[in-house]
Amino acid sequence: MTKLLEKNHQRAKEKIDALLNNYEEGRDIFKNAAKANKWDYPVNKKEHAKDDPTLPDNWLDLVETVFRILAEEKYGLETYHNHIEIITANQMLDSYASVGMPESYEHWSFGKRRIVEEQKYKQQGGGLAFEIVINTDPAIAYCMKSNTPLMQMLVIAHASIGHNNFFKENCMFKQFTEADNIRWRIRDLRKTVQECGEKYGLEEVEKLLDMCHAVGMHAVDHYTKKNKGRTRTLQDQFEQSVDKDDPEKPIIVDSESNLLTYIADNAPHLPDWKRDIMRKVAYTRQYFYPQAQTKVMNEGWASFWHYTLLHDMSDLDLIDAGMMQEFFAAHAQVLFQPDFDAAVYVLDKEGKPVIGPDGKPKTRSIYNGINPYTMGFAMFEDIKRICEEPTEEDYEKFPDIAGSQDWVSVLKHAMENFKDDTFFLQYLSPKVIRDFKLFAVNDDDENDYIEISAIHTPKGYQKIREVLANNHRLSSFVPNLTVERFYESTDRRLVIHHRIKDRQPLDEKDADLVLRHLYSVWGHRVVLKSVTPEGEVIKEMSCPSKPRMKTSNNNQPNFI
Amino acid sequence: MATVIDRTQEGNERFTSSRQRFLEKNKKKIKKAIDKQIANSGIKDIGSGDIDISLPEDSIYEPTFHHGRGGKKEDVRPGNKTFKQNDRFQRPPGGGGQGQPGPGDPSNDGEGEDEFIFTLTEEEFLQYLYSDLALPNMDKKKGQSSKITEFQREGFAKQGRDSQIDFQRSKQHQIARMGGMNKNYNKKIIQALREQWNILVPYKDSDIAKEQDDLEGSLKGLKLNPRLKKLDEIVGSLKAEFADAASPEDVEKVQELDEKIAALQGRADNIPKWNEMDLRYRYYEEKPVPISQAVMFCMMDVSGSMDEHRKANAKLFYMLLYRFLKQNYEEVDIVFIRHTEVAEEVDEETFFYDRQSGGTVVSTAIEKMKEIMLERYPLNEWNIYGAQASDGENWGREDSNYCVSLIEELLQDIQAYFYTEVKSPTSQHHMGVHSRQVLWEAYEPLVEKYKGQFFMGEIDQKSDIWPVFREFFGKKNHTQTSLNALFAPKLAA
Repeated sequence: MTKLLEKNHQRAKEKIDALLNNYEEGRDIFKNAAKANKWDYPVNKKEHAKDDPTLPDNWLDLVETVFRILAEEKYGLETYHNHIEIITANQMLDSYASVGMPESYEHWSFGKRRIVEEQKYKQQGGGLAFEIVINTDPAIAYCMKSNTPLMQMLVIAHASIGHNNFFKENCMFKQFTEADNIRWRIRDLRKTVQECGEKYGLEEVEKLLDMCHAVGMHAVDHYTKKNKGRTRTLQDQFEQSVDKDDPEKPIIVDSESNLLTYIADNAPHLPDWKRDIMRKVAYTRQYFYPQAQTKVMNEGWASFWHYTLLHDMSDLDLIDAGMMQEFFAAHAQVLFQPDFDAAVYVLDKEGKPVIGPDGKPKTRSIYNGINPYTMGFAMFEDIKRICEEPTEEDYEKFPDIAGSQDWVSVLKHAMENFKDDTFFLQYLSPKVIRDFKLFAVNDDDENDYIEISAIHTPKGYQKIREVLANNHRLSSFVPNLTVERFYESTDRRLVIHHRIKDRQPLDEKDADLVLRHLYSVWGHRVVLKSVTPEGEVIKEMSCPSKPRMKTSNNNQPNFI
Repeated sequence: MATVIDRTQEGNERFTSSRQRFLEKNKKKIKKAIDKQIANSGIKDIGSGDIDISLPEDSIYEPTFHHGRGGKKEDVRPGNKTFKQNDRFQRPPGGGGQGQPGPGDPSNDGEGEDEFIFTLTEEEFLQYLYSDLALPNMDKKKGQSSKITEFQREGFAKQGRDSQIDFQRSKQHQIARMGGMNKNYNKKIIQALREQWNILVPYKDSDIAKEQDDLEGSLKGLKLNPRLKKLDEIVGSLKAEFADAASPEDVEKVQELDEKIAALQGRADNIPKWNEMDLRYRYYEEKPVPISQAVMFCMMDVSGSMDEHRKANAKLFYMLLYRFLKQNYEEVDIVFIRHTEVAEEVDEETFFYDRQSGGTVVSTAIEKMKEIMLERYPLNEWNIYGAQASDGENWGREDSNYCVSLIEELLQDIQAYFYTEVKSPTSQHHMGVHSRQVLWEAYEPLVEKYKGQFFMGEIDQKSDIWPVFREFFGKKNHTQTSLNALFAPKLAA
């Protein structure tokens, strides 16, 4: 421990001791709660502290307060105020189904998701997340009622300190979300949806929301959060540049990636209430944008801190060895990373292995991609190691941080200024690559084979970093779509470009279904062009599939 | 410090409406699935637990833009064992092979599920089961039961519990009281100010009458508070101007008035902000609740000719009817009456499973029903339904006619009467036509005469039960014609 950290540790210890001194059970209160196996363990204040309202009078609150003292005094982590809500398994399933948006509006798809989650839950025999945390100010953590006291401590350290701090300090969250008003926005949207349902019919509203959901991933202002709620003013219309080379003189839309908002603003015949709902949905979607791009970092950061804070508790002798054992078991379970070829036997209802047609027991793969908890935790731990116990290799690869005196600041810098892809490029060390035995597989449809393109040797380190970074970039899991042309003065068709990356095509069946949704709202033809990086259009889809022909007689196609 | 909230008591109603939307969206398919289930002799399941419904996956599919197969896909995985760089493998069949399946790919465990299966709760099942059926004459009697009461909001009271304080109403009263009391003091202050003005104005070197007019002019149209202010201003400037010029007596008088004003002002300021008399409490009154309750009389012939098969079918019919009544009324009583040549009231177990031997006098059962009805179920409090199942045999035409007259008498008072003739697949056929039994023939005219009140149907096998039930309660179908239509194919067969 560095001197500064040691000093801070001492200060935190004194503060915690002073706090616990106000309670009858003093420093044993956490151990006693674990023994009683009650997270609603009674906390009795001593006589002199009876009426002090600043002292927590709830066990969970006390846990949070102790962690907060450690986080603030020892490590200087800032957090939003915490809400800890205790919920049942059923309510946890509800939270799953609302995709992390509590108080969301009503829609059949949430009902469907709820059913799916419940089925999964029943199949897995009761495996639920211990917590869900929501990026709002105050930060809300949902904790399961069935958790043990130690699990509640882990959850509070993980969610109410780790995630909470990440939400407050990470650049993506700072730039793209407004933690203080998202809840009000969601509530407002709920109200709007409800009112419009009453006024204009539930089915109409539901159809509109179906469309919003279909392009939900394309409803983000990628550049800034300041420029929201734009509407097209008259001046904008005059200033719109027109493509003079095209005889139809379409409006050039400057590669607008927020499809939902563009359509809300510009669809020719939409009633205002529909535009209103679309814009509000787009706003709430913005809220997920950073989440998807910081999964590894966010979970890694939270795991790093639950691990560190629980160890601090143990060092301070606030929790005992038995509790630590339970902690390690839970930690290992969450951070379990099966190998790519890990598989288990398929069992029948009686628990016997099922024999496949080839006479061997059937197996089922349990590999489900890289576990963001494990990878993120390993990387943050490794950065700490590079600061504290650097090797020759670290001095060479990370000259600026290797042997740094202050690992807390180095870690904070990493957490604050990166997202998953850049985090991999910057910090994935050879040691982590070797520990995980990472390798890259290239599956290219131009070859009739698949190839191991890199393994955990010095030659492969950079390649592995790049592939990981690439796969954690939004564009690898959400196709890049932009609005390009609006033929306002002719048939009012809208042209959307899909910018092809790595020759990956769109799923045509789904794309066609989404185009139908778009057409139902836009009211005129919607064209989707797949464009190569060289600018060549290699595929064109549209809804309706053919432009309507100009005919004098409605039923007779014009053959001339 | 954190805020800890226990939400476990809140239940999970947050999601019921989204689920409702989901069910509503798939209403037609759910109804179809339920009908299918019922036809497949699953009728026993009604009420016993949850019902699985499967929907075609594409009806609830949520499309998005995403990548399909093809192109270059590179991926990093953990746990290398023997691979070396540039090792090559044949692509496993199915293209994607080791590549992770995309959202649109079929599931990788090879069980390409294209049906979405979920479970309807019993309540939902019944809701959809009976959703397009209606009870005949349901609204006739919704009497008030004097036993059951409910507290209802009934205006405001001056006394009550703290938890029932209505703040809005109390605030209104407080504002009114404050205004009223202030007004009193303000009026007195204005009076005092006017006296001061009267004392001071003669010192002004002008016509008093004109000054008087000016003053009234400037105060005219002003409300109490602004008038007070204005007057205070005018008098204040007078005081400042003529304080030195005024005679000692006048100065003393003015000072006296000043003190009086200050005292009044002080008392006005001391009016209590809140007074007990401002408080208004929400008032609740105990009121009888209009209650809808129904009683269902199940009558069955248990003589030797009713075999187990017939009884089972009759039982299913009763069960459907009971569930349906439950759906429509808050409270449903059932009375079981079995009969041979005598009728008696029994419990359910005995009703369905106890065998008896003897002859068949149907009228005894109907008489028994009438007797129990008069004794226990006052007409103004209960909706009454009669349901009779029989194999259609009776001792002699005379008794059958007596039955008809009894039923006609009952129909004046009760909601509806259902007669189901349960047959057995082994029933006698005469010339390809089901032999009509005595009762059926006797009852037949009632169907037309008491349209929408008297219903009659015939059950051969289990699968007939639901269609007959539907026919009874279909919203548009309370007519004999449609009943005929139901049986027409059979008669022709």
